[in-house]
Parts: sequence; C-alpha cells; structure tokens
Amino acid sequence: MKLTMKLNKGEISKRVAIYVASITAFIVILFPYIWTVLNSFKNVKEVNSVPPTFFPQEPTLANLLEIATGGALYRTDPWSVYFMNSAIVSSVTSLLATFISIFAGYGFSRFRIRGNMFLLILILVAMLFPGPVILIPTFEIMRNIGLADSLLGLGILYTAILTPPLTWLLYINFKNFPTDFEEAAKVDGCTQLGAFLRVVVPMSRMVIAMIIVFAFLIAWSEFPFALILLRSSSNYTVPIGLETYISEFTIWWHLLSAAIVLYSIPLIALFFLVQKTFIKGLTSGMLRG
Amino acid sequence: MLKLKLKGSTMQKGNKIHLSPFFFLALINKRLLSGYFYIIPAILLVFVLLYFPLFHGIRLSFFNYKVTELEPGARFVGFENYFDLPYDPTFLIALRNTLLFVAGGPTLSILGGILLGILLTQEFKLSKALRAIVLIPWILPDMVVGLQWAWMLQSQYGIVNEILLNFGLMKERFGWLASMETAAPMLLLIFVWKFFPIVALMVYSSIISIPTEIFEASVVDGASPLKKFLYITLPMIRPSLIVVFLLLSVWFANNFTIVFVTTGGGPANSSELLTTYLYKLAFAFFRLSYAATVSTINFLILLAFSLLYVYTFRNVLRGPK
Repeated sequence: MKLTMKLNKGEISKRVAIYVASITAFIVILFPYIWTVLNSFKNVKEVNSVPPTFFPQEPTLANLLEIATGGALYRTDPWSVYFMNSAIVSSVTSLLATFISIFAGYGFSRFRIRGNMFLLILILVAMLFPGPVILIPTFEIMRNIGLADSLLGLGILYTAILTPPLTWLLYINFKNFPTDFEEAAKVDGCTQLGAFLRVVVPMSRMVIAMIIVFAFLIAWSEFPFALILLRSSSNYTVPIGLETYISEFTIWWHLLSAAIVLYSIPLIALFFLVQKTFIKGLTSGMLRG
Repeated sequence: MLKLKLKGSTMQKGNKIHLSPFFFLALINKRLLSGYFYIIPAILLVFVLLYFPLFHGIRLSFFNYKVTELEPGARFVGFENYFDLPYDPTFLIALRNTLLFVAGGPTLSILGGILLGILLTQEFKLSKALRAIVLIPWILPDMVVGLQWAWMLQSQYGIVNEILLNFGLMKERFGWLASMETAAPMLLLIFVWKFFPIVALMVYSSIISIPTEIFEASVVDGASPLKKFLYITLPMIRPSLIVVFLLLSVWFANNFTIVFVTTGGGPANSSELLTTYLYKLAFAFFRLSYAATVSTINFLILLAFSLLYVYTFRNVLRGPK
C-alpha cells in the first residue's frame, strides 16, 4: 500500500512537471502570433491604448476587410495587388524550381558523372550562402541587364535561390529510394528517363508535394531581395507592403496586424497539409542522408 | 578489320595496341550524356545567378565604386577597402554582434531545443497538439516575426512591459529595442525564439530513433533520468546536434530581415549586423565597393561554417554506389 502511494506521488509530480512545462511551451510558442491575431480585431484607438489590452474590447472586422478589399491608405496600389504579386511569384518559382531540382536530384543520385561530387558540394554550399552576401552584386547585375524592379527578375532570382536546397533534399530522397523499381521498369522496356518519370516520380509524390510547399514557404517569406529590386509599388510583394507601413511616422498596427494575419494564413494552412512528410523530410535531409 | 569488343576498349594485334573507335564512342555513351542532361539546368542556374554574383561582389571590393560600377574615374585599389575596416567603429560593432550571434544564438537555441525536444517525446494529453504547433515560429516569415516582436517589446503599447508591470517585475515601462544595452540581446532572443523549435524537432526525431532496448536496459540497471540523458541520449544525438549547430550558425549569420524591421541596426548602431550594415553602406551611404568588402567578410564567416557543414555530409556526398 505504502509503496503504491509513493509511486503515485512520483508519478503525479512528474505529470505536474510535464503539464507546467507544456503550458509554458504553448505560451512561448503561440503568444506572439495570438496577440497579433487579436490585435487585428481591435480598432485604431484600442491598438494604440496605454496600457495595452489583451482581448479586443470591441471586436471589429474592419481591418481585415480593409486589407482584403484593397484599402490603399495613402497608397496608389491596394493590398490585393501585393497579394497577387506574392502569389504569382511564389507559386511559379516554387513549381519551376521543384521541376528543375527533381531532375538534378535524380541525376546526382543515379549517374556516375565526372565531377559529380564537386558539383554536389557546390550545390550544398550554394544552399547556405545566398542571402545578404550576394545582395549588392545581384542588384548591380539586375540593374545592368534591366531586370531590376520587375517580377520577372525577382522570379528568376528566387528560382535560383530555391534550386540548391530543393536539389539537396531531393538528392537525399532519391538516394534512399530503392533502384529495384526502375530496374523492373527497364526490363519491361522503359528507358532510364521513362522509368524515372513513370515510376520514381509518381512514387515520390508526397515528398515532391512537401518540397513544393517548402519552396513556396521560402519564396512567400523572402524579403531582402524584394527590398532591393522592387521600386514601383505595383510590383511590391506582401513583405515590402508591410515594410512601407512601418516607415510612416506612426505604426498602423491595426492594419499591419490584419495584413500579417492574411499574409500568414496560406503558409500555416499549407504547412498543416503536408506536416508529417515535411518534418520527416526536413529533419532527415538536414541532419543525415 | 575491327571487331567490336564490349568489355575492354583495346584490341591487341601482336605487340601493337590499337584503340578501337568504339572506345571514344563509349566515352560519350548514352548513360553519361543523359546524366548531364539531368543536372545541367540546375548547375547553370546556380552558377549564373548565385556563384557569378558572389565572385562579382568580391571583385567589386577591390575597386572604389560609389554608386554604380558604370561610373567614370573608378579604379582598382587593391586591398585598400580591407585596410579601412579596422578603423571603422560601426564595422567593428557589426562584426562583434555577428560573431556573438553566430556563436551565442545556436548555443541558446540548442539548449532550449533540447528541453523542448525532450518534452515532445513525452506522451500526455496535449502532446499531439504541441507537436503540431511547435514549428509555427519557424514557419512564420522573418518579416512577421520582426514586426510582432517589435510591437510586443514597444515601450508604450507593448504587451511585454504590461505583463512585467502586472507581475511587479518592473517599475516603469521600458523601450527594450530602443536602448543601447538591451537592443542587441533582445534581437538575439527573438532569433532564438524563431529557431529553437526546429532544433526541438530535430532533437525529438533523433531521440525517437534511438532503440528502446537501450533505455529499457538502463532502467534495469537503475539509472536516474538525468544519467539516462547524459550517458545515453546525449551521446546518441550528438552527431545531429553538431550539424544543427553549423546550420544555425549559417542562418544566424545570414539574417537580415528581423534586424532591419525591428531596430534597423540602432540605436546608435548598437544592434548592427554585418548584413544590415552592408545594406546601409550600399543603399543609404552609397559606398558600393566598401559595402562589397563588408559583404566579403560576411561571406568568409559563412564559408567557414558551410565547409564544416559539407564535411559532416562527406559520406552522403559519395553519390551512386
């Protein structure tokens, strides 16, 4: 009797510790986003009140509606233009980069090519450095060839930035993919390309869907290159639209938070769709082969 | 008369060795060609749009361009820009902050990530929900992370001050990002907040891949939870942690957006990173070549971590067996 009591006590304190820790984790992880969502329902007076409120006192949909229906707020182009630009650039580049990377990842994993390893190392390194390091020369080059301030130039650049990480993740995937299926297909008269397109690609469709989402996520979030390349507001992507709102003498936080909510909903929705494959693919691709 | 030999490309006639024409055909065989066909688009894209700008940027750092490389009168100055760096106080602050972020950020993220990762391995009522939402800080764009934290840490309207006041931890409102002492540390914490969930997931996936027999054996031996962690879990996940550390270092050194939207490097350059400083140099101060110099230094820091990262993948890089 005494023994079970003691065990229960230890068991109970462990349970309590886990619950305290998990509630802390929930708060730390979710609090900033929840507060932003709540702020998007507050009116301009309440958002700028001292002390700040947590729950909206008079909830309103006006902010979300103003952003969604194209509130310009002293600007010539409404938010819907920014959202459209972001959607076009992100979806086209993520599909294009995935298409290119599927071939590259497969090529690296199946063929003995001269310089294979060297090229793969260059791809892996290129996965890590693009960002502020090539900001200045990229701006110079894009300006000199007349692609600065155009979504086409931004799209080409995004495709290039996305290709190395996607190639790497797909390389790992195809490397771990058993060759038996392709061999069987080849026995049945398929060429290497045919076996790849008819057998390997369909069988990897979950991974490929995950890769497309991952690419979309990166392109949709990208800010520094859009900042230096896009000048006219009809070309702005959403993060640039958000950035221009801060540079005012006051922060339009009620509208900003509404824009943030609309901006992040597609990402969170897409992420939940492919979460399982996403986490598995990401952790295996980044940590080990 | 040449006879086709499938294996071995040479035929011997007496003492003379003849190279069969098929040998050259074999060199450019279908297999080889198709291999290049698969990878060439990606290679071209990466070389033209990533490696070419990289080397172009390094080249720019040896000239004295101000606004554009088309301007007249610009000349090759050798390492002059590099010799200016040690006398530039802002550069020194930016370098110090970057090194601090590159070393301290991953360390803090890994400590937090291990704790959260262990929590994720526990089974309790909300464990599935926690696993589902844990990546949200990492999924959110840098722009969003920066904006929402800037507003939370704002002195008047920010919720952080309000909470601290209510719990009696503070006497008066404080501008966390507007003070020279706290701006850079606060930024570091925001970065850690964004990145520790992905570490937690990596730790979690490493721990659940450890065979359970090992843990069962240790329970029989009477090991305490702390000992189990120190002598079983930690050695098993150490290879993953090393990779995570390198990856995080690169991410921390590459970050631009969060600093740009929260403090913009201020106040008084106290939270400047190399990335934000090079942006200012090129697009606000119009010192293109000098900006390219700072950029090259940033690249060298990244390169060191990148090469170590590549080295940890040396077995995976072997290609087809």
